[in-house]
Amino acid sequence: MNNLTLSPAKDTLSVICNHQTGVIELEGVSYPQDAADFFNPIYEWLENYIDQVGAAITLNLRINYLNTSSTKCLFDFIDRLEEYYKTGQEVKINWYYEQDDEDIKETGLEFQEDMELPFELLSY
Amino acid sequence: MKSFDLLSFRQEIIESKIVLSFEGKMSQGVLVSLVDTLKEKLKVNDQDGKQYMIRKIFAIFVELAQNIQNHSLESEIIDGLETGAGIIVIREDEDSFMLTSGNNITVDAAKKLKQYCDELNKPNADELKNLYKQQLRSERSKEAKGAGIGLIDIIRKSGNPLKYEIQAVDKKTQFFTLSVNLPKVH
Repeated sequence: MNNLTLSPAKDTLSVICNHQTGVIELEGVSYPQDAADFFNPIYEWLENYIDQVGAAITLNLRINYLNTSSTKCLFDFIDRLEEYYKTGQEVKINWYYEQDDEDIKETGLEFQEDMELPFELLSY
Repeated sequence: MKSFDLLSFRQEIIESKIVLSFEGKMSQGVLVSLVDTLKEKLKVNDQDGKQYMIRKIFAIFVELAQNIQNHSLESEIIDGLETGAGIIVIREDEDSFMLTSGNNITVDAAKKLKQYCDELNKPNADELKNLYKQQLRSERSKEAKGAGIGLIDIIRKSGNPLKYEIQAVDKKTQFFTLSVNLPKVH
């Protein structure tokens, strides 16, 4: 199993998925023309990790902006983590937001609602 | 080529308080460069650095531009992706920003979009939030490009209803204009 690293672009996130530590880091802005196409390798990495490693996952998010199609893709990703958590696995989400960024804080709150997995909102 | 009076064109831009406008194919490369230009211009125009407003303008601008990208009838493949053409304009006066986008769509699509806008303009803020959450949790429809929640997001971010106008281009085509008013926070 490999780690997944994607360098940030002006319209896409920086991505680091580490299979040794189980830590996934997503950072920056996301508004590509085809959000599903951008997120596909991240979904695939997660499925491989679940199959081949099957250990704890921490998702650290430092998002500055998501367009609505990226928001949907990220929600689906977190929903998959929720499913994994419900199989008895250790999963944790840290949603970091810039102190005065009400919109990103609100998105985090909306994701957090209805999720059972540990989901913390942290300002920086 | 038809004669063109640059001075009166400039005058028109200034009097209409246009901060930024673009007409043409909304490729992703164009969108990214427009976002950069917009950020730069708002920084200059707004010395107080009202990050809050800039974030909202940026978000609404991207949703409108990507509506053109995904739904314009005038489209072609650019970098392997179907890419629409249209026009987007941002104006600014003392009290508000006005973001307007327009593109051609079929008569049938215009009718559906009009109904969708009317439906979205009815709910209050809480109902709209629930609708947004519902859409976020729903399976993506195979036909729909984009997440289908862009317009809901625009209303929520602006705190204002969607304004639209439909004008006939020809028998099969209509020009759909969408306007969003974003009041300045004083």
